[in-house]
Amino acid sequence: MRPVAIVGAGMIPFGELFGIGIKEMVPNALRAALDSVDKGIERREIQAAWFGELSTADGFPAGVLADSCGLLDIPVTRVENACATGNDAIRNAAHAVGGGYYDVALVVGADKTRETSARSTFWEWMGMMRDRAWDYPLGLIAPANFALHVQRYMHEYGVTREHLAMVAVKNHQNAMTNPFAHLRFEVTVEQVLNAPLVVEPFGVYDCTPQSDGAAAVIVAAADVIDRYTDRPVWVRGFGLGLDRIMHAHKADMTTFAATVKAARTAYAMAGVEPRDIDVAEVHDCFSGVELMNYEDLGFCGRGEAKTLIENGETSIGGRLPVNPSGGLKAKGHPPGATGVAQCFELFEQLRGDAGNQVDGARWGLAHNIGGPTAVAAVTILEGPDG
Amino acid sequence: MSILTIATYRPAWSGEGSARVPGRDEDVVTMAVDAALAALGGDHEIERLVLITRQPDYIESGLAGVVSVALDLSKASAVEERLGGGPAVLDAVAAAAPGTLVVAVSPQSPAGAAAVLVGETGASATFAGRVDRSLPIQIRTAGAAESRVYDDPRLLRERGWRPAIDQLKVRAEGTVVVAGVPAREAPKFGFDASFGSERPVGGAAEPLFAVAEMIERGVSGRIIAVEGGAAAALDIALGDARVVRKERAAPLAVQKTTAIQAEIPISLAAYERAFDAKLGLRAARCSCGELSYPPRTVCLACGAEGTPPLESLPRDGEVYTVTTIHTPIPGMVSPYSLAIVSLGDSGVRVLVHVTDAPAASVGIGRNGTLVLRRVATREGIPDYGYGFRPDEAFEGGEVA
Repeated sequence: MRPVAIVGAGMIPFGELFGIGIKEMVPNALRAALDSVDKGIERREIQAAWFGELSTADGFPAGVLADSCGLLDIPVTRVENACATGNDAIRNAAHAVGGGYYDVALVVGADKTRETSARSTFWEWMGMMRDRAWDYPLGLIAPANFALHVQRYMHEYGVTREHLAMVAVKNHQNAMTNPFAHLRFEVTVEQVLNAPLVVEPFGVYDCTPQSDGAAAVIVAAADVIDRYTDRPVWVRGFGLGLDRIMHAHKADMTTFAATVKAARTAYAMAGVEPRDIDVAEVHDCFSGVELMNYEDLGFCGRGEAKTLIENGETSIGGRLPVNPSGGLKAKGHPPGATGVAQCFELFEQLRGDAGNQVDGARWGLAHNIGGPTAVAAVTILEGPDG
Repeated sequence: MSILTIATYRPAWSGEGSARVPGRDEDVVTMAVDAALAALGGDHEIERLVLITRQPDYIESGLAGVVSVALDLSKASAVEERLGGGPAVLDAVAAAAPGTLVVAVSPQSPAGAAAVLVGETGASATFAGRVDRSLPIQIRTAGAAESRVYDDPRLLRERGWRPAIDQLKVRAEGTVVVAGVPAREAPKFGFDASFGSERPVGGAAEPLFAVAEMIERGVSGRIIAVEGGAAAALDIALGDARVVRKERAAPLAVQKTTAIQAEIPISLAAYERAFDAKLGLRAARCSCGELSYPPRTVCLACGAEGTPPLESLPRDGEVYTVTTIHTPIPGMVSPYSLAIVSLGDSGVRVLVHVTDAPAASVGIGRNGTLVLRRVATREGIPDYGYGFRPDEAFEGGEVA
């Protein structure tokens, strides 16, 4: 595979975007990505596009991208892979460009979670994610899906709700300075602990909000990079991992097997190890999930995540800052957009342009885990000097 | 005929006062299965099951198959659904052939269910008379939500109960016990008010609760069941009968909950495909030894393809992980707890809801049993499956 780099990336602010529809969000994200290309780019230079959308806000997703962006003369493919959609869309585009089929490809991720009432969203999404006869009638909503893991994880490793709260506090703090974040306010450990319980052990502030949003990246082959930028961010590795779809079939629920597999593949492809990563954007849909990710991604050993968060090692200025953008927790989580927006944050970090800049960051890692905790995607990026 | 075993079941919950009420995941079918399992123990070889209630939850579609699969009855065992009250239950016991299980369910407060296994030996139960009259002092038109009550309790007592009881107590030997009459009325008919004074259940199951008490107390005599103007009587002679009580000594107060009405869709095609494995709690045994639950095309362990035979899973289990959903969810009643439970030494885990216990009261490592429950009602269709009942929730007792 020939080297592939991100030459442009952009997003629109995440939030409850009641005023605009998916057909405005997608071209706006594309515009932001086009404008970020240092030496400029025209839409007609895009040769193929991948569109990550988990739901179907206004119908046929590939057509929504092609039509709303005026890209009717190139192939467009929709990618849907639960919460790993965004990073998987990037993987598909990188394969096509790396394989020599296109020189310039577009990836857009978007979702409109607030298009239907907050109540109906639960069952619409559960219908997509659960077995009709077996799991669906039990009311295994998304937070419970993760809580079953985190409860066992806390039980085995002596992790407390305070440790979970520290994740929320850190990510809210990071979102304060991110103009694209959905929840730009600080919370304290006490506020997190005293908030109403949603699903044990998660209170309101342990949970991601339901956000609308869109993000886009433009990937190009090494052969044509010079046309667009002198500061490309290289796509060095990616991996996609799967696991059993029923929780009862997961032998060890203190880990996400899908993440472990995706990370192993991505590290091997990039030729780096966890200790080489300078900044990471990981899937913190619920506070405790971020702690489990530290271990599954190899940032620390089993049961050591609580020490990392206690010591501030994953805060800005720490050994390995995690979710400097605010993460899903505070930046928001429109599933199709989430992975793409993570790579937008890393694009800025690795070029030294980020709001919460991690000094001298060279290697960045993006990660999602989703569906019935059965699919994970990891993307490893390297900055321009690599 | 004779009573080999008599088992009674009362729900864990109490509503207003101390009267038992079914849990929100219980109905006639699940209470029948709870009582039947208590009566059968591990022995499921019966010829016929007669299920009697005055208040079926569902009409137009029979649910006998749910009972049959949940009890793992052989295909030769017939399940018969009957509409009736206390007199019909005593009739059924008197007429039953050996190998019959008569199950009576009273789903309304005070709620309970009872099951009698009829055999050749045990406490003999002999038909002692019947009165067929109708005094419909309380009646509900099919499809109507509310009963109509003709408000004249003395008319019922003097022209309904008294003539029937007077007729049926003639030539009775030993103690005469009446079911279907409030305890406070018993002295007015010359009966010992201490007997069955607590009246733990009403409706169809009440006479069987009375019989269980007679056997426990070593009292032989006659049980008379009345319902409106109708009545039936059985003579009970003591013998080697087993009494099984399945109930929580101290009931749980019904919890404060939040419900948001919403229609949850069902796929009856998926329901039908899952039926045998889901309601029978049966897993597929691959030739490599691995049990797959639910059954699947490709083995979880060795990857072999096929449709291996089903076998029953153990019902005892230990909680591997558990969470409680506190937030209101459309179509659900919150809070509710979901657990992943490891079943016996089978190596199989199942995802189930926690039942017969307050939400958030069950932790990792808790032991318990899977019990048939109405897991959800979707588009009006009852969706049966299993719930996890923590052990301490029920203090079962047996009296030889």
